[in-house]
Amino acid sequence: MASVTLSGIRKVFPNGFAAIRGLDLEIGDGEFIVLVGPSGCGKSTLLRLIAGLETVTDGAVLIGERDVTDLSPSERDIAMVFQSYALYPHMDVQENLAFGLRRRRTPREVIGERVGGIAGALGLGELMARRPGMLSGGQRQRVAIGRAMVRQPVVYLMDEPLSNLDAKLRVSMRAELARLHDRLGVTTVYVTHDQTEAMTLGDRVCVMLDGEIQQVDAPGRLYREPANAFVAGFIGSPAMNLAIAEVADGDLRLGDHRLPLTEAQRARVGARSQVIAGLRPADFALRAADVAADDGTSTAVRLPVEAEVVEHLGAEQLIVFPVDAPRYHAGPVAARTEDEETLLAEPARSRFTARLDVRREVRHGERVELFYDPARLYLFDAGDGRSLAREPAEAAG
Amino acid sequence: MAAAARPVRARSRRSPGDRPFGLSLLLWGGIVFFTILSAFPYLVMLSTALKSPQELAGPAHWIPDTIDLSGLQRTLADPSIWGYFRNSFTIAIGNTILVMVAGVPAAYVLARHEFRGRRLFLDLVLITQMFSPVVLLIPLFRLYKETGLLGSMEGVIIAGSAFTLPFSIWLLTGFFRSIPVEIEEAARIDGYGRLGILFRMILPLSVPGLVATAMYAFIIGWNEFIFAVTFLIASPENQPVSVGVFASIGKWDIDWQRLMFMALLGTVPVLALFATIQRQLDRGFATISSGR
Repeated sequence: MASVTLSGIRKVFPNGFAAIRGLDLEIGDGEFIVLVGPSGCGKSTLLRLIAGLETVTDGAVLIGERDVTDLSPSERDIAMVFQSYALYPHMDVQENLAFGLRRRRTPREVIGERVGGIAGALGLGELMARRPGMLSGGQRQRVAIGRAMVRQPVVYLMDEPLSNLDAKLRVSMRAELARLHDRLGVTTVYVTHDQTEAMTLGDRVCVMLDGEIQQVDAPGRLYREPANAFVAGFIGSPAMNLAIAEVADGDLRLGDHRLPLTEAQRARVGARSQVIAGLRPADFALRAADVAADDGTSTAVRLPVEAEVVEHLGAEQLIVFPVDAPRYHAGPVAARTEDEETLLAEPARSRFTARLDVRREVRHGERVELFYDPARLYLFDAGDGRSLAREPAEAAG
Repeated sequence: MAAAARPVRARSRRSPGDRPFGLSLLLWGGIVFFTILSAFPYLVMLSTALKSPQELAGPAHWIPDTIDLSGLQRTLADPSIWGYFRNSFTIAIGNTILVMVAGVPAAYVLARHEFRGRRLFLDLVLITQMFSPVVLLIPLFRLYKETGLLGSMEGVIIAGSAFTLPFSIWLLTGFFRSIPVEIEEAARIDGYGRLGILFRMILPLSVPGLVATAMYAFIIGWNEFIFAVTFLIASPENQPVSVGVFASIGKWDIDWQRLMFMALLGTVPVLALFATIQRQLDRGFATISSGR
């Protein structure tokens, strides 16, 4: 087992595309870290740089104390699980598992012992003589993980290993992976574009955009204290409602709505005339009493809205309502998450989502009053999107 | 979902009996038409080979009045015919080996390495196919005369494979590209270098492609005529079947029976090869398509 240290990593492809733009990351020994971000954010490239499948343009990769920057993938003592599994189609499961060990001139008995052990642990016993073409998606997945385990590497690298499975299997395999990591305790770097997967699996989650790290934190902290508007919008499902709000008389104006600020928030907003306002869908409620303030200092804010879309999900309902304020998008258009895709582009309007309980069912087109705790309002700089909660309060005025 | 998916699958997997009659008729009509079209030359060859010279001199007709096997006897009695076949095999196999040895590494590099001018190179390779070998006959003849390759089968093999290579490289490049690059990356992590990957991953996974390409090179080599008839004109002991067939055309007359029998016999090895490899090709394709 070993830690992984990335320092000053830059990767520019021959065509001039800068996939990683100067990045430092320390991954602890035995840690499960998830690299997450929209497609093209550089997360897979980063994983491939750790694997040695790509060479860094600048910077150093250390595994444990060893500088592996110039070593080949096989010399780095890592194992990788690919999105497509990349099983060897012309070999049966047994050979797939043993292939790497044979190359390392591992004694035959040791190979047999290890392959047998892994096959037993992963329930591959009956499949040993089958070729990958005869296996189901889940079985291939297990073989791919087994092939990584058999090597007994110091670091596991996983590139979206669950994305080819159907939704149900994905959930159960996710739990299996978490259990496996608990048992083996091997440092794992896991790439995904699915924030749910990232939040449930990672000891820490590293959110990336445009080849840069946006924030590395424990999942809970990432959700509660996003470093910037991109992280805020990316982590959480449904995504945080983000829109550009005008600052007027110490409060925020979001279309027709007036959002009062607390004293602390006012101090952080300072002299800005615009900020990005963020509200989590789950922070809305239909009754003022349900949004009890964290410390009892603030009172619930009332927001009269018209439910444009209502989705009943059984235990909860999602209502979507329009807000006359410009939508906020972090990053390039290509990097928008699927949650954000809209059919009809209306840049001057936003649509907010509220996740409500079902004690009272809201009907389509109904005018309702929503409540939220003003302390739960997230504020970000309208220019660079960084969170105002993180900076020291500026003197007002 | 499953219930909704079932009828769709049922429709796509219905038996041929469910096909509308008109469509069946059209399909069978097409099959019969193309079968006749491709079999036609062979039927002409067979019909001609079995007619006596007297009958051949008369008006043309399909079914011979009498079956005359004297042409066959005459052809088989000629000891030089076995030499022709031996030479054809040598040239065809030599062509195949040379094409594979040069083509596989070339195609692998073109399939896997992005380098400046890769596309241009592939296009240039294809452009060479647009020139007829005939334009190179005279320069090659002179070159071979200088180097002593004239009259040798090696000379025919080298010239022939140079013309077989471009298309072979294209074929192989396509096959190599169809193998997911992750498989190679997994092998790299497992500790294999370029050559190890080529021999343990790429080649075993491209068997259908390799067989198809080798088959193509073999057939081109077997049918080699223009280089053979030019370079081997003074070396009858090295001439292949194609030139042997041509030899039936004398200065004063044409031995039609011998010509047709030779031509028919000449197709037998290629047909036999096809028949044997067909099954392997199918199996290979099935492995690849299900083996991901």
